[in-house]
Amino acid sequence: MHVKKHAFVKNFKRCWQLHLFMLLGVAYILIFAYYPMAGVQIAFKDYTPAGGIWGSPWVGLKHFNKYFNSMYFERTVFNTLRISIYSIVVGFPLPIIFALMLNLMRNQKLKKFIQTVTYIPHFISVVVLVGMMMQLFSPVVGLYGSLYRIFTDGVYPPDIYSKSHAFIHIYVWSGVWQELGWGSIIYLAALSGVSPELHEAAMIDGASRWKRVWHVDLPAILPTVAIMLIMRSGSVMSVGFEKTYLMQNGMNLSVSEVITTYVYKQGLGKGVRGFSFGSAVGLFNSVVNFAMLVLVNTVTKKLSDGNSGLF
Amino acid sequence: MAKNISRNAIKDSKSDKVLYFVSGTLLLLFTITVIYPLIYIVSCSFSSAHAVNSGRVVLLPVDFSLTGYEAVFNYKRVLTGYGNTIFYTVFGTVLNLIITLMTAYPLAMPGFQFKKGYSFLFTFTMFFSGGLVPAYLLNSSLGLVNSPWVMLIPGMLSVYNMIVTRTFIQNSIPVELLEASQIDGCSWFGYFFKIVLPLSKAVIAVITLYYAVGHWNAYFNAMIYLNDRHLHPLQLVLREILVENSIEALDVATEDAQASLAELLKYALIIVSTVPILCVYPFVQKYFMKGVMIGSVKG
Amino acid sequence: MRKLLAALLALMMLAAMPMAMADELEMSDVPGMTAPGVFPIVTEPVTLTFALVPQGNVEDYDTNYFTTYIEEKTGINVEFLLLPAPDTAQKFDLMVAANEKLPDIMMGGISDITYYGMSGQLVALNDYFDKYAYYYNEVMEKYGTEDEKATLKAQSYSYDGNIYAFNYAVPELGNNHENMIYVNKVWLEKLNMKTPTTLDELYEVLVAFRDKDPNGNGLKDEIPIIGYNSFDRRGDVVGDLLQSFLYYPGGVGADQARTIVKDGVVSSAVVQEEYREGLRFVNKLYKEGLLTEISLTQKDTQLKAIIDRPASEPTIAGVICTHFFSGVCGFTNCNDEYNKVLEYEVLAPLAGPEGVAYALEQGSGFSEYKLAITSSCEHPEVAFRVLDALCDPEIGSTYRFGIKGEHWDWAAEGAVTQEGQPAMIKFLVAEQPWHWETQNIIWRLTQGFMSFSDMKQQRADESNPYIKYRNEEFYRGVALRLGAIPAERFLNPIWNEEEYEIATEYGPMIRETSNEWRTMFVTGEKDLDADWDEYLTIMENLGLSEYLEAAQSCYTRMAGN
Repeated sequence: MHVKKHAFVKNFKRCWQLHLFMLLGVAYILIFAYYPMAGVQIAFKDYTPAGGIWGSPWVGLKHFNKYFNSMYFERTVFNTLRISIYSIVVGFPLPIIFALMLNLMRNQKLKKFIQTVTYIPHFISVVVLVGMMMQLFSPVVGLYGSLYRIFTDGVYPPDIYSKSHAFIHIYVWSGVWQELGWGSIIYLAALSGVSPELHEAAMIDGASRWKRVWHVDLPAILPTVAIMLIMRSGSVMSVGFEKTYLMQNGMNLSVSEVITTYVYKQGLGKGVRGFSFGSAVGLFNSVVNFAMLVLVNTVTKKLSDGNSGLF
Repeated sequence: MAKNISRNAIKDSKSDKVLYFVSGTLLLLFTITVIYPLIYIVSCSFSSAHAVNSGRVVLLPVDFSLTGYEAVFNYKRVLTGYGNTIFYTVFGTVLNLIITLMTAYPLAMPGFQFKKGYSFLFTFTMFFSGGLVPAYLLNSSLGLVNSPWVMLIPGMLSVYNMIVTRTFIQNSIPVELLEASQIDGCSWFGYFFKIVLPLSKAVIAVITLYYAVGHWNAYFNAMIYLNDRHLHPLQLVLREILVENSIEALDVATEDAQASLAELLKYALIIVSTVPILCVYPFVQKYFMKGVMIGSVKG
Repeated sequence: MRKLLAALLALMMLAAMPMAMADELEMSDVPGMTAPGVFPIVTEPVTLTFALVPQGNVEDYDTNYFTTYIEEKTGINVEFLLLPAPDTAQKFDLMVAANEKLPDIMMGGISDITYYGMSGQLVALNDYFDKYAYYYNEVMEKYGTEDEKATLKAQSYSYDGNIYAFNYAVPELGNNHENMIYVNKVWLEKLNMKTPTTLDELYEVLVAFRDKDPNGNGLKDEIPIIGYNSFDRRGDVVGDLLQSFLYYPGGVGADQARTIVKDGVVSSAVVQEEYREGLRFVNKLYKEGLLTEISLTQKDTQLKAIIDRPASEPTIAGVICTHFFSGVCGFTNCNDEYNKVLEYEVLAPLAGPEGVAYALEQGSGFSEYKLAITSSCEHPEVAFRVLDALCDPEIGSTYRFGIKGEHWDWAAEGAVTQEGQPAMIKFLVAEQPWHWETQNIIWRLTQGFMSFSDMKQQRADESNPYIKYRNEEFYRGVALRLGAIPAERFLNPIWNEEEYEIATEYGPMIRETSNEWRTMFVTGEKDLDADWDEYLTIMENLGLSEYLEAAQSCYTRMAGN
C-alpha cells in the first residue's frame, strides 16, 4: 500500500506539468459535455416543458419498448446498418488508396491541382448534391435521359430513382465521390511525415516503387488508418437524416427508411412531447455505436502492439 | 555487382512505369468526374433561373445572367454575415488550436499517468450527450444566449480532432527525441514548445483546416442562440435567404417567381459561400503536401 | 396685480391642457390605456417585444415602414426577437425549458398552443375578447360568410374552453384548390377528341396521347399523364384520380388517417372498397404505360422542367396534375418564349364509374394564423389591443400590402375583381412589396391579418396575356370544383388531451404505411386481390381502430358545438 501510494506520488511529481496541460480540456469537457449529460435521463421520462428535465415523470423503458416493438424497428435498423457498413467498406479504403496514389505523383503542380480540385465536393451542401443528381439522372430532362434517347430514338430510359435496389448504390457512391478528396487529406499529411531516408534506403536495396508503397508508405500511415477506422466504426448507427430524407420517394421506402427519418416522422406534430422518444432512440443508437467502437478498438489493440487503440 | 544492379534497375523501371501509369490515369479520371459537376454548378449560377429549372444547362451557362448573384448581394446582411464569419473563424480556430494541442500533447507522451483514464473520459463524450435541451439550459445559464461567445466556446474542443492530433504526435515524433531532450534536462513545457510544436506542422495544418471549415459552415448554434441578425454568420444568412424564398406564400397569387428564384439562388449561394474558404486552402495545403521530418533525428 | 393674476391664470390653463387633452381620449379600465377602438392605444410609452421568423426580403425590421407606422398609430414601442427557421417552434420550447423571459407576442412559432396555454405560458384571452375587442368584432360583423365566421370562432377555442391565441382568418379560395387536373387542349383538338368529363373518357384520351403522336414529331416522347412524388396537395396523380371513387382527404387540415364521415360515423378512406377500386384503375394506367414511374419519384422542380419548357421544344405532357401558379411546379415564366401554359385547360371533377366526382378542398388552416400573448407580457391588455388593431381593414391592409395610396387603396364604388367579384381593395402596383426581392415596407408575415372572402382585391392591370390566361384558367377551375365535397367532413380537428395522445401516437405511421402501400398497389408490387387482406391487417396492427375511436369522439364533439 505504502509502495503504491509512493509510486503514485512519484509519478504525479514527474508528470505534474502534463496534468496542467490537461486542465483546460478537462474543465471544458466536464462543463460542456458531462454536466449536460444528465439530460440523457429524459429518455426514461415523459418530458414536458412544465416538468423540465428533473421534474418530468419517470416511465422507465416505455419509449425503448415502443421503439423495439414498432413495426419499423427491424426495417430501420437493418437499412441503417446496411447503408453504414456498405459506406464504410467502400468509403473507408478509397481515400487511403487515393492518398497513396497521389503521393506517387511526381509532377508536383499536377499533384496540387488534383488535390485541390477533388476536395471541393465536400463543400457542396447535401441539398444541392441531391438536387444535382436528380437533375442529371432525370429520364426526361436530364443528361442521362438525353443521351439515352439519342441512341433509342426518343424512348425514355428507365427511371433510376424508382428502382429500390439502386437506391443504396446511388446513396453510397455519391457520398464516396463527395468525401474522397477531403478524406484523403489526413493520410496525405501522414505520408508527408515519412522520412525520405527510408525511401532512399529501400531504393538502395533494389525495391521497386510498388514495393516501397507496401513497405514504406503503408506502414507509415497504418497508425492513422487504425485510429480512423476505430472512430468510423463508432458511427455505424448514424446514417444522416437530411440526405436520406431528400432521396426518399414513394417507391424506395423499403430500403430508404432509416432510424433518423423514422424518428423524425414519428415526432411530427408532437412538438415538445416528442423529445423523450427521440432521446430514447438516440441513446439506444449511442450505446450500439459505443459498443462497436469498443469492439473494434479491442481487436485493433490485440492485432497491433497494444498501443494503437483509442484507449 | 554492377550488372546485377543495372538489370534490376531495368526491371523495376517497367513495373514502376505500369504503376505510375495506372495510378495517374485513375487519378485523372476521378478528377474529371469531379470537375464536370463543379463546372455545372458554376454554369448554373451564371444562367437564368428558367434554364436551370428546365435542365437546359449542360456544361456552359445558358441565358447568361447575374440574377442569382444580384439577388444574393442585394441582401446587405450577406456582407455583415461575411464579416461575422471571418471573425468567428479566426478567433474560434485560434481557441480550438490552443485547447486541442494542450490536450493532445500529454496523451501522446509515453508513460503519462492516467493516460487511459483521460482518453476514456474524452472519448465517451463523443457518444453520449444529453441533447439539445440540457445544452440550451447550460448555455442559457452561462449567459451565452445572443452573445458572440456562443459561437466560440461550446464546441471549442472537438474530441475527434484531438484524437487525430494525439495520434500524429505519438507516431511521428520518435521517442528518441524525448529521451534526448530529457537527458538535456528539458521540462515537459520545454519539450512541447521546442520540439513537439515545430515538428507537428502537418497535423496542425490539418486540424486548422478542419476547425476553420467547421466554423465557416457553422449555423446551428447561431440559429438557436443568436436573436440579433447582425451577429449572424454567413451560412445562417444564406440559409435564411434560401429557406425563406422556398416557403410557399400564403395565397395562390403570390407564389410566382419566388420559389424558382430559390432554385437559382442555390447555386449562386454555394459559390458565394465556398470560394473564400477555398482561397485559404492553398496556404494550408503546403504544410501537409511536403515532408517536414527532414533532418530532425540527426539534429 | 392684474397682470400677475392673468399670468397665473394662463399658467394654470397651460398646466391643465395636457390633462384636458387626455380627457378627450376615452380611457379604459386599465391605467394608461385608452378605450377599445381608440388610437393611440396607450398614453404612456409601453414596449412590446414581437417574436417572429424574419422574412427573406425584409431589410431591417427595426427601421421597417410598418414598424414606424404601428408605433405612431398605437403609441407603443416595438422590439423584435427573431426566431430561427426552420424548426421555429423549438426556440419557444427551449426558452420555456430554460425559464427565460418570453417575448410578449409570439407571431407563430409555438408547437402546441393548447398545451402551453394550459401550462400557463400563454395568456387566456376570453375576457379580453369580451372587454377589449373592437375591430375584430367590426370585421366579423361586416365581412365573410356565416360559415367562415362560425369556423373561425370554433377554431379559436382549445378543448378546455379557453382561447389561448388570437386567431386570424385567411381563406383564399385558391389555396384550398391548388391541385387541379389540366389537359392539353391543343392535342385534343388535333386528335379530334372532346374534353373528358368522366374517368373512362380520360382513359381514352390517355391512350390516344400515348399512341397517336399528338405533338407530331414522329417520336414516342409523349407522357400521357404526369405529376410528381406527392401524397397530397398538388402533384399527386393517384390522389387526384381517387377523387372519382371516394373523397380522398389530403393536404392542409386533413388528418393522418384520411378520415371521412358518413351519417356521423367516421372511417378511414384508405381501407375502403372504393379506395381499392380506385387503385385498380390507377394500376391499370400504370401497367399500360399511361402513368409512368417518374410521377411517383420525381421532385416538383423536375415536373416544372418538363411542362414549363420553351416554345421551341415539343410539348410532351398530356394531362398534368399540378398547381398552375406555383413557382416550383407550375407555369411561371410566362412570356413569348415560354408560353406552353396556353395549351392547357382545366378539367372539372371527373366522374368515376359510380358517378362519384369529388374535388379535394383543403382545410382553410385557420389555426395556423394564430398570434399568442405570453405570460411574460407585462401589459397583456395593450398587447391584445394591438392584435385587435391588426384586424382593422386599413391597418391590416397596410400590414399586408404596403403604403396606402402608393401600393394599394380602397377600390372604387362598384369595382370588381378580375373574376367578376366585388372588390374591396385595389392594387396600385403590378407587383406588391410582398414579392419584391428586398423591401423595408412590410413585415411580410403570413400571420396577423384578417381576410374574409368578402375582402377581395382587384389586381393591377395584367398586361401579360399569358399570366392573364393562367390566372383565369385557374379560377375557372376553382369555380368548377366548388362544392364537390361530401356534406360531412373531418377537417382541422381540435383534439382533446386523450385523443391527441392517440392521434399523435398512431397517426404518423398510419399515414406513412398507407402511402407506401398505395404506391405498391399502383405499381403492382402488391396485388389488390392477393395482398389486400395483409394490408388491412397491417393497418389494424398500427392502431387504426383506436385512432378512429379518437377521431369519432372528436368529430361528435365538434359537430355538436
